[in-house]
Amino acid sequence: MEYEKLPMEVPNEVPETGFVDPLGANSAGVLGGRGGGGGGGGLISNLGPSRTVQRLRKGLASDSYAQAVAAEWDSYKSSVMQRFASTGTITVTTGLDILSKEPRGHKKSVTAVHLEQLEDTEKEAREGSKIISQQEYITRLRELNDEIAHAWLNNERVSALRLTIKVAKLLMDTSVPQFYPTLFVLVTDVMDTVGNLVWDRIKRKSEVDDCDNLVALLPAEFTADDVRPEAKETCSNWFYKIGCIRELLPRIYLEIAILRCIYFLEKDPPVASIRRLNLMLRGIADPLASAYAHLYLARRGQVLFPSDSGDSDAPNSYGTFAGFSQMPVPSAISQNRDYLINGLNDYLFLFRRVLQGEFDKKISASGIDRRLYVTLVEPVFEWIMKCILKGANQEEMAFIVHAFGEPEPLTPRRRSGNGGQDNQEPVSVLVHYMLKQLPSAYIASEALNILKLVKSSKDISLSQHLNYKLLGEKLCECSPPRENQLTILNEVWKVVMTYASLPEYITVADVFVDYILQYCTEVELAVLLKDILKHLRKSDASDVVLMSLESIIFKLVTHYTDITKVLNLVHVVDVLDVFYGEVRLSVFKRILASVTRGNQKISDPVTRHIIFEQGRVLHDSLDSLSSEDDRRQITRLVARFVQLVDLGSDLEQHLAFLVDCRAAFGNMDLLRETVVHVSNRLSISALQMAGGSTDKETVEFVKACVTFNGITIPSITSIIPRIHLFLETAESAFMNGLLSHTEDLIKTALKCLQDASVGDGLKPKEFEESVCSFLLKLISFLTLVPGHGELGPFYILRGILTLLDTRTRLVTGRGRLRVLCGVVCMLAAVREGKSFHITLNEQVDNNDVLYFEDSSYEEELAEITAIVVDMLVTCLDQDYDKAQTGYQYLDACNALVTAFRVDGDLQILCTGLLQKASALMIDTDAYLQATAWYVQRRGIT
Amino acid sequence: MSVKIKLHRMDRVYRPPDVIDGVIIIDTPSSVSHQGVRLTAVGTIVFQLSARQVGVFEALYKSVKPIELMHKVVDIQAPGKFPRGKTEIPFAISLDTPKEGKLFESFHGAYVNIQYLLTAELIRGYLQKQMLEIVEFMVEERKEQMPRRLLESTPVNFYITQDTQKHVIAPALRSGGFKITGRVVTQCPLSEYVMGELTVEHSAIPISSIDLQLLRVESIVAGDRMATEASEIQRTQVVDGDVCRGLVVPIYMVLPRLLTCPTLAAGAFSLEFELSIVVTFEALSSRHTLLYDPDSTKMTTAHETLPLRLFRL
Repeated sequence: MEYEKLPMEVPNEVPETGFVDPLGANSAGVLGGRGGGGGGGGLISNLGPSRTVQRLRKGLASDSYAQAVAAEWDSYKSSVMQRFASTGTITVTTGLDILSKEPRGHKKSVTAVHLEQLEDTEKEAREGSKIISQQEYITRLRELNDEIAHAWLNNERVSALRLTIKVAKLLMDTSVPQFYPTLFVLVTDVMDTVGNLVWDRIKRKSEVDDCDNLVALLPAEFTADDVRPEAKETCSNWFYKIGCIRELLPRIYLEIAILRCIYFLEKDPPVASIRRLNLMLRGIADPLASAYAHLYLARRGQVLFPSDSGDSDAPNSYGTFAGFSQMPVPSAISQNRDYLINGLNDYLFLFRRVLQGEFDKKISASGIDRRLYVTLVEPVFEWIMKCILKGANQEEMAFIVHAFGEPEPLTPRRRSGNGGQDNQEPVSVLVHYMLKQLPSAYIASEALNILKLVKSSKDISLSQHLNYKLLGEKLCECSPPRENQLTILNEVWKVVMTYASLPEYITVADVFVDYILQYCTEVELAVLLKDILKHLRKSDASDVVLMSLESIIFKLVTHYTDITKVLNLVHVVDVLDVFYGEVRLSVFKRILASVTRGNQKISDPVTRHIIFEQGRVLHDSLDSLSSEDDRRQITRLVARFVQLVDLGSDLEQHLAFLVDCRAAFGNMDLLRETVVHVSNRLSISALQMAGGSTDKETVEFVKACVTFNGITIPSITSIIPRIHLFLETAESAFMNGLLSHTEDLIKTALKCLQDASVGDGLKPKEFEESVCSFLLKLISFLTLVPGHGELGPFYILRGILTLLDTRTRLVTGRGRLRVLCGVVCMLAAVREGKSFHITLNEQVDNNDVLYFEDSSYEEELAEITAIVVDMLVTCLDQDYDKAQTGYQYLDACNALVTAFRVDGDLQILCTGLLQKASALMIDTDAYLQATAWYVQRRGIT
Repeated sequence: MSVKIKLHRMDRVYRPPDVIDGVIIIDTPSSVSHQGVRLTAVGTIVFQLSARQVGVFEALYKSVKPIELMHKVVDIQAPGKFPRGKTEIPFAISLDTPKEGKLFESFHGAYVNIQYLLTAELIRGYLQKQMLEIVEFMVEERKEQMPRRLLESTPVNFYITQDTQKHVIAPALRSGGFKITGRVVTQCPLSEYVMGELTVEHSAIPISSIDLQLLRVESIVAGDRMATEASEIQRTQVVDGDVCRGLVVPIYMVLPRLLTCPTLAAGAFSLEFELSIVVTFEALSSRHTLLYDPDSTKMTTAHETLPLRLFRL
C-alpha cells in the first residue's frame, strides 16, 4: 500500500461557537434582537453579489429544483416497489429489531440487558421471538413515520431524531433480502421527510427570530451569505448530532438526508462531504445494504449539484482523502458524475465478490439463490447509471464506457495473499444499464467497442443475451457506420449462435431481424433464418420462443408490404411450420391481416395455397366457445383473402378454388356470400372474354357457376342475403342467356320469401325495409326478363302479387305502397316498349320483342295493370297510420300520374288523392306543393 | 423581586483576555433599598468522587482539595435604592490570565470538573433574604498558533494483529490470525475531526464490526502516585460487517463538543484523550454465551489504543 500524505484540509464546516442544542434551540440564550438586526443588514448588503452567484449555480438551494428531482424518484420508487412486491407469504424474523434491538454483533452489557428487561418486560415478551409478516412490518413503519412527524410538530425534536435513527437502523437488517428494496423505499421515505423537516426548520430559523417575527425572507435561490448566524448555528449542530450516531449505516443515511442543509453553511456544492460519505460506504460489508446506501447517496446527491454538467468553477482537487485509491477521473468529468463513478466502482469490488460466490452461504441461509439475490441490486445499478449518464457529453461517455468496460486499471488496490479477483470482465448488469442509458447515436458510433464489452461480460448478474438484445435495439434506432454494419452482425452472431438456450437465442434473433431488414440484404436474412431453423430443430419450441418467432414473422410481414415476397423468402415457410397452438393462430391472423391491408391481388399459386391453408387452420380453430369478435374477425380476413385471389384467365380453376373454399370454410356465412359474389363475377368475366355472345364452352362454364351458386346459396342462414344472392345470380345467368335458370332462381327467391318468418334475426322494421328494397330491385329486373312460354308473360309478376296478397304482413304500410308503385312504374315501362337496359348479351330478348304486336299480351298487360291499381287503392284504404297517410296519397298520386296518361276514372282518382292529401297535410309541405305543381303540369285539374 | 444576569455574548464562551460584559436586571414590584450589588467570578477545579471507584478515589478526595483558578469580586453598585420596575446595571469583568499557571478550559468530566461561575448578589440587611443569581460561563483557551504544515505530517501508523494483543484472545482467532493496518492523525483540532484510514489486510475469522472508541483519561497526582481513570465518551463505527480485504476504509470521527477539551497536564492533574480502534470478530460460540459471559466477548475483540492530542486551533 502506498502511503501518501494524509492532509488535514477539511473544509471548516462548523463555525467555532459554543454548543447550542439544535433540538432545544428555543431555550438557548439566543439574542434575537442583536443577531436579527445584524443579519438583516447583511442580507441587504449581500443581495447584489448573491444574484450573480444564483445565475451561475442554477439555483442549487432552490426548493423547486429539489422538488423536481424528488418527483423523478417518486415515479421510479413505485416501479421498484412493484417489481419486488411482497406477497405477504414471506415472514420476517425481525423480532426485536423494530424498535428495541441493538445492532447485531455489538455487545450489550449484561446490566443493560437486565435493566431493559426489567423496564420493559412486556415489550420483550411481545417482540422477543415473534415472526411478523411483511405487511405488519410495513404498517409499523408507517406508524413510525407518523410518530416522527407528530413528535416534530410537538417540538420534541430529540425524540423525533431518536426515532429516525431507529428507523434507519432497520436497514442494517438484511436477513430477508427480497424484502430489502421495499424496506429501503419505506425507510428512505422517512429519511426524506426528516431531511425536509430539518431543511424547513433551518430555513425558517433564518427567516424569523425567536419571537416569531419575520426578519427577512430568504431569496428562492439563496447562498450561505444570506443565512442568519443563528440558523447556521442550528444547522451545524444538526450535523454534529448526526455525526455522533454510533452505527455506521444510520449515520450515513441521516447525513445524506440532511446533506442539502449544507447550503446554509457553504456556498459551493459539498464535494468533500459527498466524497467522504462515498468512502465511508466502503465500511459497509453487506452487499445489499451497501448497494442501497449508494443508491440513496446518488439520489440525494443529485439535488446538490446543478442539473447541467458545466459547472467548472468549483475546486477539482479535494485534498482531504488523497490517499485513497480512487479512479483517476479526468477533470473534464463534472463532479456530480465523479462521485457516482467512484462510488459505483467501489461497490463493484464488493459486487464481484457476490458474483464469485463468496456470499453464497449467507445468501442461501436467507432462503434464496445467488441469481435472485443479484436481481435485488438491479435498481441500484439502473438508477446510478441513469444519474451518471444524464446529460453526459461525448467525452464523458467515452470515459464512463472505458471505466466500466475495461476495469483493470480501476479496481481498488489489493494486497497479496487474499484470493484476488482475477476476472475483471465488465459486470453484465452494469453493461446492461449503461447501454440502456447511453444515447443510441453514441452506441452506433462506438458499436464495435461496445460489442467487445458485451461479449466479455457474461457473469450471472444478467444473462448476456439481454445485453445483445438491448444493443440490437439501440442499433436499430440509429444506424452504425455503413462499413461496420456487417462486421457487427457477424461478431454478434458468432457468440449468439453458440447459445444453448433456445429462448435466449431467439430473443436476440428477433431483434437482429430488425437490424438486418434495416441495414443488410436478403442474403443475410436468409442466412439468419436458416440458422434460426437449425436451432429450432434442436429443441422443442416453448411458448416464449414462439412469441419471439411470431414477432420475427410480423417484422417480415410489416417490412415487405407484399406478402408473396415474404412467403417466397427462403425458409420462411419452414419457420411457419414450427408454430403450433394459440401462437400459430395469432401468426396466421397477422399474415392474413397483412394481406387484407396490402389490398393487392394474389396471383401467386404458392402464396395462395399457403394462405388458403392458414385460413383453413383459423377456420377450424373456431368452435362454439370462440368469441363473437374472433369469429367475425377471422371470417372477414378469410373472405377478404378470397376476394383478393386472382387466377387471371383461368376461370375454371378459379371456380375450382371457390369450390375448395366452400368446402374448407363451411362454417362461415359471410364466406359463402363472398364465394357466390366471386362466382358471379367469374360468369360475367366469362361473358366479357367471350366478347358478349356466348359460345358453348362459356355457356357450360356459366352453367357450372350458376349451379355452384344454386347449391351454395340455400345453405346461407339468413334470408335477406340469400334472396339478394339469388337475384344476383339470376341476373348473371340472365346476362349469359340462361333464361330457365333465371326463372328458377327468381322463383326460389320468392319461395324463400313465401316461407320466411317475419323477423329473421333482424328487427321487424329493418326486415321489412330489406324485403321491400329487394322486391323493388326484382321488379326493376323484371322489366328485362321475358315471360314464360306457357305460363304467360307476367308469370313472375303475378307471383309477386300473390306473395303480397298471401303474406300481408311481409310488407306493410308505406313499404307495400312503394312496392306497388314500383310495379305500376315497371308496367308503364314495359308498355312503353323501350328497353332502357343495355345488355351485354345480344341473344336475350325481352317481352316487348317476344310479344310484339301480340293482342293477348296487350290485354294481359292491361288486365294486370288494372289489378295493380286496384291493389294500390285498396292498400291506401287499409292503412291506419294517419301520420303517414298524407304522404301515401301523394306517393300513389305521383306514381299514377307519372306512369299513365291520366284521364277519366284515373283523373278522378288522382284529384281525389290529392285532395285527401291536402286535407291531411299542412299547405306549405314541400312534397305536397311539388306534387300539386306536377299534377297541374300534367294537365290535370 | 428577581435578579437576573444577561450576558451579551449569547454562546457565553470567553477566551482570555476577553471581557465578560452584560447587564444585571433587577425587577421589583415596589421600591427596595439595598447595601450594594456585588458581582463575583469564580473558577474552580473540583475532583469528584466516583461511585464505581470508591476505594482509590475516596482516599484521593480527602487529600486533593479543589483548586481555585480565579476569584474576582467587583462591587458594581453602591448601597442605595432601586425604584419600582426594571433596573438594568451594566457590568464588565476582564478575564485575565493569572500570573502563574493559566485558566483551564471549562470541562465537565466524570472525576474532574472545571467550572466558571458568575454570581450576582444583592446585598441586603441581615434579616432580609439575600438575592442571588448564578450563571455559568465557558472559558476556552486561546487558539494555538501552530503551523498547519506540522500537523499534516503527523499521521501515526498502527497495526493490529493477533500478536499485538495484551489480553487473551480466542484460540481460533490466534491460530487463524488477522492483520489490520492503518494510520490516523493523532493531533486533532477540536473543531475538526479525527481522520485516518484503515485496511483489513487479512483475517481468518469474519469481522463483525470495527469501532473507534474515544476515551477520556483523567489523572490526579496524589502524593507520590498517580490515579488514572479512563472512560469511554464516544463510540463510532467505521466498519459494519466483514469488509472487503485490501479496501481502504476511512476513519472519520466527529468530536463531541461538550465532552472534549484540549489535552492538558497541570502539576496536580491531567486530562488526556485516547483513541482506541476496536475490532470485533464474529462470535465463535453461541449467542447466549456471548451475551452473558463478558470474558468470551473480550476474547473475540482486538484493539489498539493511540493517544490523541486535542487542541484549539
